[in-house]
Amino acid sequence: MFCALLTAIALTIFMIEAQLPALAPVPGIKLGLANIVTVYAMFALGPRDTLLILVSRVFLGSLFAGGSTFLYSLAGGLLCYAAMLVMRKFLTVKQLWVCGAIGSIFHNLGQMAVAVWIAKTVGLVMYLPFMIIPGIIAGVFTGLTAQFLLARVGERLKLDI
Amino acid sequence: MKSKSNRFWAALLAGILLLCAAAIFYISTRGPKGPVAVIYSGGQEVRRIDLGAVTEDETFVLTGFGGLSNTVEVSEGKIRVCEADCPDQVCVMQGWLEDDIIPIACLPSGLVIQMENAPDNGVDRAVG
Repeated sequence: MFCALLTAIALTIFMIEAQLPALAPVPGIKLGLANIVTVYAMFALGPRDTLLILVSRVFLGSLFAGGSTFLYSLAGGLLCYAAMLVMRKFLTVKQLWVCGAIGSIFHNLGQMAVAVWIAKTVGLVMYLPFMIIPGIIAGVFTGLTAQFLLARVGERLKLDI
Repeated sequence: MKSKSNRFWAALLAGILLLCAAAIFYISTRGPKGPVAVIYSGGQEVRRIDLGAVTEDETFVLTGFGGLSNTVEVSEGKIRVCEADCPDQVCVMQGWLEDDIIPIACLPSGLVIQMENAPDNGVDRAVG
């Protein structure tokens, strides 16, 4: 099952990343490299499989790694997924770097929304620009990696795009 | 391979980056806030301390969501979280807060420490 393999890969990346220190006081704010799998799957497998992989990874990841990261990861991940769902209509397979960057912006927005809602403090949004700037950079890198991956592996498996 | 589409997206992302940079610049010019430190737990104000009126160091523990506790240390003109149960420890890593506009936050426990200006309503000092 290709999906299972991708989920395992995403989960592994996620767990390793979870060991790194956070950039801002939002649980789960990391580089988001596990999204290389999400972006790749979105263009190689399609929305349904991608959603399955994403939710499985968030669920298992929060089970094994973080204490409170579940809600934040889920909100960020789903908003990012929704954004990518729209973006894939406008982007070519050579533009996954854009998808990664836009996805990361929405991921941050999702996480911030949960943070403000839980802590009931609107002042937290001041962290957003500090999160988005490295987020976009990481997103471009993530998307680009998915792009290269798709160029090599997408064709060999003869997947419908 | 440059194309009009690529240039559009690159410009859009660059625009967003600039917007964020401008926001950060604006935030940094919002000036110092203080000397009152307000401590919130889960959105409710639990303590209000005038850091300017602090004469001796004080340490206390606050417990928030999920039984997670943060140890807050108050010193002359500054405040910080010196210890915490949360897995991230971001709140501890932020160090001392003196007159910064950006709050200290421990999201797992719901703790937020924010600086506010002294009230000008005739009451000299609000000691919490």
